Amino acid sequence: MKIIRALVKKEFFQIIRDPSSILIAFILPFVLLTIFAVAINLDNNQIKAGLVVEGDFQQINSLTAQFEGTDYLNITRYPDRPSAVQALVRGDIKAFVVIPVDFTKQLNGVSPSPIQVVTDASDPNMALFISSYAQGVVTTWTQAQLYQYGQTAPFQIQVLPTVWFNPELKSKYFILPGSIAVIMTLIGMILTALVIAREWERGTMEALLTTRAGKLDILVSKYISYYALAILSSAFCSFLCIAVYDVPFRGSYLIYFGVSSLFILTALGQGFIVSTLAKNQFLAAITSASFGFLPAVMLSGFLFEIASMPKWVQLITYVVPARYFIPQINSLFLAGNIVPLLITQSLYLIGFNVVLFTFIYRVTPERLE
Amino acid sequence: MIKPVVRIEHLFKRFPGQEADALHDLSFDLTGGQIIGLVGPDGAGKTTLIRLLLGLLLPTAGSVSVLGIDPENQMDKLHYLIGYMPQKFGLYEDLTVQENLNLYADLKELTPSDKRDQFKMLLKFTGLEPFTERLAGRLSGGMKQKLGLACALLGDPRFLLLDEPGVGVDPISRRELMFMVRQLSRDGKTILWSTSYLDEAADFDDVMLLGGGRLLYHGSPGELTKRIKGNVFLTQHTKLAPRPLLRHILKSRFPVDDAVIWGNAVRLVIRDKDTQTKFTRYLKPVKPRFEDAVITLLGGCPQSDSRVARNIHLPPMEDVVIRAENLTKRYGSFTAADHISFDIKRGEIFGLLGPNGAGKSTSFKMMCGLARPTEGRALVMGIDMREHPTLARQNLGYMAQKFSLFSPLSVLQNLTFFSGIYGLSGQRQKAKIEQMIRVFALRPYLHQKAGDLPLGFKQRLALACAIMHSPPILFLDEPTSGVDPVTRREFWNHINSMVEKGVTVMVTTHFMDEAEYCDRIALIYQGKAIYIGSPDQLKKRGETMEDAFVRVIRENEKQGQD
Repeated sequence: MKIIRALVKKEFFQIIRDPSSILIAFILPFVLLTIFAVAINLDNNQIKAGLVVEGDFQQINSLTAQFEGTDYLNITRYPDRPSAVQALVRGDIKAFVVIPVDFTKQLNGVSPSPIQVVTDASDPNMALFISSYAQGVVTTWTQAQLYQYGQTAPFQIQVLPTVWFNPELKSKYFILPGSIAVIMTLIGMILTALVIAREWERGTMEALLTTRAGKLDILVSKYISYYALAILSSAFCSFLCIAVYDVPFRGSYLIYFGVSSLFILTALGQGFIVSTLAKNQFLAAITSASFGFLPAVMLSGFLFEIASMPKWVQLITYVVPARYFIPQINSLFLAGNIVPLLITQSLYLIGFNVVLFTFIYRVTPERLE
Repeated sequence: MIKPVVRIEHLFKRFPGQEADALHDLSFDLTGGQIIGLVGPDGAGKTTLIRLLLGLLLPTAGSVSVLGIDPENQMDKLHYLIGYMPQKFGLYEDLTVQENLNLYADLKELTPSDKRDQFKMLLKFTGLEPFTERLAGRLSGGMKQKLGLACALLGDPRFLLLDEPGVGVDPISRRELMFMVRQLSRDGKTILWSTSYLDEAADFDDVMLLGGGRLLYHGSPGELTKRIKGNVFLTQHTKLAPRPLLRHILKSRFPVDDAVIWGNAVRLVIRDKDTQTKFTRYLKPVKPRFEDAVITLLGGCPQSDSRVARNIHLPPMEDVVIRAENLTKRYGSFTAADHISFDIKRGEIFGLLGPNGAGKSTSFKMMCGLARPTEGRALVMGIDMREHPTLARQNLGYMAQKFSLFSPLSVLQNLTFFSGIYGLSGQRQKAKIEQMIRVFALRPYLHQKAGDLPLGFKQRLALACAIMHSPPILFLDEPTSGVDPVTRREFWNHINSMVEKGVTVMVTTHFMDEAEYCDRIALIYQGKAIYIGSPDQLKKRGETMEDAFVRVIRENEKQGQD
């Protein structure tokens, strides 16, 4: 105990005096979080689209007004189809909507009124969004028209989307909590990847091994010190999300603290493994970036849905700790305490930590060979 | 019968993937209460042996017992009884002196009262009392070494192991350390001191000489020196200066075991009695040194002629090729170099000597055009380094400290790269590379990575890369740092052969005895050149070069105080 206390004290002195650890723990997350908050935006706001109205009907002025008035689309009018096609090909617009000559005629008849939506499907997500949005606008408008003229609508199946947890469909709301997971993976790994490699590089590990400090003391003291730094860094990130970027937090802070701790320990553990095996600070930093950061972004379900990945890639995601933490942090921020989810995912994280620590303990040498 | 502190029986150590044993069949006992020197060239196995004694490495075969304890199974118990200072001193540079002491005291589980007593005693002993709040990283090399020793001494260990404590430390600090260690041995502690500086080991109680992983000698240094008694001579030539004379001796395959420049003479070890009688007129017997004996035991100095200078033909040049005029460099309020002036003549070896941090590297960098002088000028063949650095550098071959090679590239790739940047191409480039491979015997290593070469070969390759464009001037920055005495002799053989052809050399070194190879030296201390002149003249002020050096520094300090 005395030895661990002495070693923890040493680590704290080193952390305080080493500007790079402060940089990694606070400046780097701030920069990354800001990038995630401002630059990565999956919301389809103000998409440039064209509108072609063939013919001039009083009746549909209110429909075009609906298109033009929305926040989601930035509408430019084109006189005819060919000019809209040109604009689409030039890349000026992402899509255009054509309201055909016989639109009102058909509207008054029995058959559904067709409109045409032409989209640039090089971005499939956006194409899908625009076509369904256009459909939505027309459907709503048709309903209103029918009601206004005292007609009853022909029987139609309507899908009324009800959005739970993130009713404004702001992608910021799920990107930012998820990005905390990604950032903590990177920070946790870099912090620890460097420290053991540093002891080897500077020859202090050799000196430690000839004192009464055993490898358990060395490992535990490093876990304690860097856990403390990383949890502070995590708190800082969460504060930025909630207070600066206005992401709601609906769960319990205590549970959040608990699951974050479990997750941070996995990140630290991965860093320790890299560090112990690399024994060189530079190599350790590169390895943590490629084996920690990238999987956390790509394979955790943070940006890309795991269920839609090929089967063998899905199998890989099981060894990415962020995969277990991202559902927890997303639900704590947006939904509240979903107890069964929190418990199962926490059990995975605990298992992960046990495996990591056992492995680190085995690969940390007691001697120089 | 007193129990030995260390007992080793048929110890073998081989690292995985290696074909040769790092240590081969060592058996010895070490008696307590003395200073034991562990000497030998680089790669001889000194550090490996120390780590085996500590239990940091495990033997491949054989047994190790330290203080009656088996380091393999009872490492914990052993660590209560020993103190160890590894090569880089094992200090945390971002902790203060006091924090380092606190840490190691806690790691050795000292009680608060022991802590208090020992801190007081050790700080006084090492003279670190005024610096307890300073970060270890801000200490000079000598003070770091003392702090390392203090940390190793916490817990009052019976057996102290020091791995190359003298490396990178100036001669004055080295003496102080030696003095402290002697005091410890009088108190009954056993000290194992590993070193590649042979002069350090000369007056230890007991010496083990390792070579190629084998124990070549174990006994008192005096005994070893006695073996070559009557075989060491000085010789002079009426017409030839010492350097050409040495070159002549080495070229003519004269049966010598060792030959080095010694003041205005050449120092020879000749064991062959016929030669001794044949040339007795020219030989003046002198007292053998420990180093003479060690070099002889290690197989003598390299004797082949250096062919490196064979194709060097220099155009006629002015007499003074390098000039430093009032070179001054200030970093803020700190003056690293203070009005240093000297001239170097064609075909001269000029040495910049001084402890670490004295300003010799700063002066050297200004001479190469790598640092801008705050005041003064550096001229190379009349060209101002500051105004036309590229032009001036064409005349320079530069070999940097730690050998500026590309370690991931192979030997051949390094040679090709460096010949390319010096503007060689086609047939000429091929021929030059071929010559370098032949001269420096690099053929077996051509496709090995430069970073994996043994230190001696790295040094050869670095020299080869620096001289491929046949420069008339060579700048060498600590070319022999960390290199063992045998390899150093070989290196100087190459340099001397080039100087014979008129190449001018400026060299920095912290080996005082290497001043012997220089025609003139500048002693740099606290940013000032406190002595410029021939090494011979300097040596008259003390028994050895190091004595003289220490004396000049002390005199200079006294003048400063008056």
